[in-house]
Amino acid sequence: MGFLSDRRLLFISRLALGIIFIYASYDKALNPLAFAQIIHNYRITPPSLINISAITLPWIELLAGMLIIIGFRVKGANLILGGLLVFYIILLSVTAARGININCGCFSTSASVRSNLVAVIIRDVVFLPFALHILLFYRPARRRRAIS
Amino acid sequence: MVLLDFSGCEFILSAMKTLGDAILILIIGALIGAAVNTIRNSTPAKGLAWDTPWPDNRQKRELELPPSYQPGDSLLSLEDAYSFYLRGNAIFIDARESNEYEEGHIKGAINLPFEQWDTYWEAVRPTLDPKKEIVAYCGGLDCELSLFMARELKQLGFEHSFIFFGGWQKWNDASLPIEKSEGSHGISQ
Repeated sequence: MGFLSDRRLLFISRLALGIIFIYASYDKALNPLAFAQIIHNYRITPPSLINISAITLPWIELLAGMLIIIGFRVKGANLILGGLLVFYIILLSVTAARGININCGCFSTSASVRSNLVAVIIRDVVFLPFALHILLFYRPARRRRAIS
Repeated sequence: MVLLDFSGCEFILSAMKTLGDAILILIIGALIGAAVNTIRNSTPAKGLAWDTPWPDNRQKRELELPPSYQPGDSLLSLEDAYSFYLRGNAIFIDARESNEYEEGHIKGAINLPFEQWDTYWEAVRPTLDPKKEIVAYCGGLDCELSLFMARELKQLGFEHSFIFFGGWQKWNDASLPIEKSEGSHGISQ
């Protein structure tokens, strides 16, 4: 299992997770109204939190995604991105169980709606090992202590 | 001589630092978002208002299932249908007869009497977009033409076809926007 601590392999995990979130946040940051509509479609957020989430969340994802790639505060950024992945997986599962069509934000009895959500859940589950890898094996480079 | 084991202590310190960093990133990210939004609000590229009132849609509304309901039918509640209406990108289709449509229909809806599908379909088709949502409705809870129409539309490739069961009656009872069209037949918008 020692190879998991390899810095190059860790860099690949950081790069993968960072790119996923930068890519995901880009469109949301550019179109906050469309993103607010999507949040509303999940039918779980109190109305007062919808716009604030749409305004702030993409930039948190973008910042954490950039930090994890450039290697600054990696563990903190990873905690956010990994936490978000877990949060999304739970959210999507609850949404699928409630039978909500997130494209329209309506309750649907259609089976294809549920299978679409399951596909997104699987996608997020696939990303989770990258975050776990960084959480368990990443060690920040220690600064040399000057000894006088 | 006492040997002190610092590994546990180190772990806690590292976890606290990670948590501190995460909180810092959350705060800075949120502040950047807020700043960008404020700048956007002062330019033509509008950002979001801090308090736009979204309707509270957390509560599940039970849908009445039509007698001939089949799994795969996408039903809409009155609240959902109104939300589609407000968004403005869905096409409402009234499946009732032309004279009923003329007497009053959901504002902006087009008429495609299901009983005379063949007469009207060719004229209606160009106004529909397979990528857009279509909401089929008819009279009251005793009318199932909207179900048949949505199923037909789905088969023709209009995947986002929804059924607003009990449509006209529920819409009219709730005093939502309606319009009348006198003397026109077939498609009117």
